[in-house]
Amino acid sequence: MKSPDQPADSSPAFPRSTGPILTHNALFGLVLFLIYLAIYLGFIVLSAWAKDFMGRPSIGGLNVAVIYGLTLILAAFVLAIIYMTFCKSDPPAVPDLTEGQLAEEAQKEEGSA
Amino acid sequence: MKYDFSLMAFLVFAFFVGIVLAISFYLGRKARSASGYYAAHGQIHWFVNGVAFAGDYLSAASFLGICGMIAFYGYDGFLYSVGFLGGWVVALFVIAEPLKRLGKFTFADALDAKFNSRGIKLAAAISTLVVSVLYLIPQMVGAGTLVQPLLGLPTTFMGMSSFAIGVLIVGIVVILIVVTAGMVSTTWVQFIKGSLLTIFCFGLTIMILHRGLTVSPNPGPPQTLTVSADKSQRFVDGKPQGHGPGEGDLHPIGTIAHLPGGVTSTGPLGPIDFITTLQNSDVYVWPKKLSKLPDGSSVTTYSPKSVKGSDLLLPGRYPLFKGVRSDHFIDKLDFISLMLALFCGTASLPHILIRYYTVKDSSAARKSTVVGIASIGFFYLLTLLLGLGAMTSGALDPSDSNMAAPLLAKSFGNLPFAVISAIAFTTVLGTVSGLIMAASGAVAHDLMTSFLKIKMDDHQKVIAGKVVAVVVGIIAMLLGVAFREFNVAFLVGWAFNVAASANLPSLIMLLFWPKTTKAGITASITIGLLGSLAWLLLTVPAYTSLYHLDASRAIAPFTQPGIVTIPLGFIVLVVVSLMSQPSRKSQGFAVAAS
Repeated sequence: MKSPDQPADSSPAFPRSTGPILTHNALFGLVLFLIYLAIYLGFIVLSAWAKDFMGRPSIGGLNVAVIYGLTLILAAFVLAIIYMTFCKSDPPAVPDLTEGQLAEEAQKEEGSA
Repeated sequence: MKYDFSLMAFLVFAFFVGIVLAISFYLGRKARSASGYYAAHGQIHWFVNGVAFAGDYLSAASFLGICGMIAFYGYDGFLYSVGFLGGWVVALFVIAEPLKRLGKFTFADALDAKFNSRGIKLAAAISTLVVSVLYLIPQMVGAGTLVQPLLGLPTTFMGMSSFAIGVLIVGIVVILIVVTAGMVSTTWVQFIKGSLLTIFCFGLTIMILHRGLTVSPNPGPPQTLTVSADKSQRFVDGKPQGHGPGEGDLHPIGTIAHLPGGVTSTGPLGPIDFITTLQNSDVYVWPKKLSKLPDGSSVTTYSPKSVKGSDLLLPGRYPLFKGVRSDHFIDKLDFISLMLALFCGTASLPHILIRYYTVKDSSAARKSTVVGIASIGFFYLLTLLLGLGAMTSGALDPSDSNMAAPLLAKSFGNLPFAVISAIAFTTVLGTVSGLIMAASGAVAHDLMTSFLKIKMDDHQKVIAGKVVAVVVGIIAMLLGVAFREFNVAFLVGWAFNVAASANLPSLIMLLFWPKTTKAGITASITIGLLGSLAWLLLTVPAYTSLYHLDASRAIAPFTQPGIVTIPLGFIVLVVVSLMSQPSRKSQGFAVAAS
């Protein structure tokens, strides 16, 4: 625990996090992450076990392997834009507060819980 | 191949480095406090930070390594592009926001925010240091590779190999950048480099498409390169390597044997037509065969072989990924494991994570990640065309895949070569500065201030950071020389394996599993780090290229540990956390805090 002689900038003995762990943004991010993960795993599985399929010509004459790779790059960008658009605005920017303010906040949190 | 001195290349290079250093010194006057040195005062604009993400991330591996791998082996290099970018999804959707909320200067801060445990600080600091140094090695190898053709140095110069001189130059310049202004100058160097790299690679791509594809039916005879046991003498087809009378050199490779429809030249092509045309062409590749002579010298023979373009555009030609085409499950593990490590690794790289502390809030962190993904994604789209362009440029050095991108530029003239080489060098500078910053924060902030509780005022903290930066820089130079024989993208793959194994389980579980304890985090980082490192040191590439031992003595069943050591980190964390659950009183505290 924090002793009085510790300098003010040492790490606090209480959590810096003041919001709930799974916020709206975090849940939303998790959903998008799972969507991308599914596409990515599909790529690994097809590359490892379906060479003939990956070699087939598809859109514009490019083979499936090239199209799938390009899709993965574009999908990351599209999902990132979606995420940025639908994220809610910020909780207060905690790291900007001084340690003293942080301590007060943590005490308030403890008291109200 | 040996390269002659080009005054233009040297002048462009000197100009770029001069600008970068001037900016550093100018900004250096503004960053005196610890928060300025370690986190650029948290005041970097999100757009600048986003492009700096690209400058931080697009290392020598992305530029030199991927281009070289695509040029020599086709699609396999692009697998790295896909994996490197995929990792950003984890960084943005899962890690960015909580990390920004929890931390101050380093990722150890964030991990430790809930517990205030010295064990976590120590483990996280060591892991940061190890990952950063591992990541530094390929950057140094890239620098060493570049300098010889850029400055046209003889193989040995003033008693040092030209490779070592390259490493030395990068090391010194980077130490100067970091020591003058820490994160402020590092950010701007990365911003400049990220912009330049993307813009000039786009220009190079347009030149490739404009040139189109041309047949040159005669690939030339097989060539041999003999290197004496002490590596001091090199012979090509029996003659000393050089361009003088009585000397010989490897002739450049990378030509098309046959184009679809029997045409000899296509003229300008669109990006899709370029790839489909190549897919239906036959291309000469030059597989190498290595043998040892009784006197200890090594002989490498390169022989041309015509290969179908459709085969080059599928995974499995690069030795590491050969197993993808095998029928046995175990052979495919290298590929699967590497793809997993690349995906999980980005969000665990300390030098990327510290960038989140240079912006003011979570919203800025998100926006800058999106800008980062956009610029990095755009660059990776270009890598496919750059690599394939190099493959058919007729300018490749058969003995060095890392030189593919600069030599591709050289096939368009000396100015493009000078500019691309200088950018490649700046690329190394940007990434190396970020890595040294991360290592410096880990030692001076996490180890000295937080773990050892050495009392330092703000100014002393900055001095400590700078001293550490110098030491880490020197270590990186020494290791760079030791690892010169590796492909840089391959080496970076290793750093991703270690980062993902050591750091990702704790980052994820801390955020999403309330029962995580400090003992769990400490154990998971330690086991993930040691496990993946030990594995790497027991693989075939480590035995052959590092210890120069026989490949059959290597113990590890495949070269990429991620698929084993990442889940291992999670398991260790869960088991140790369950065994070390706190008493009810402190549980109540944790609930109140969440």
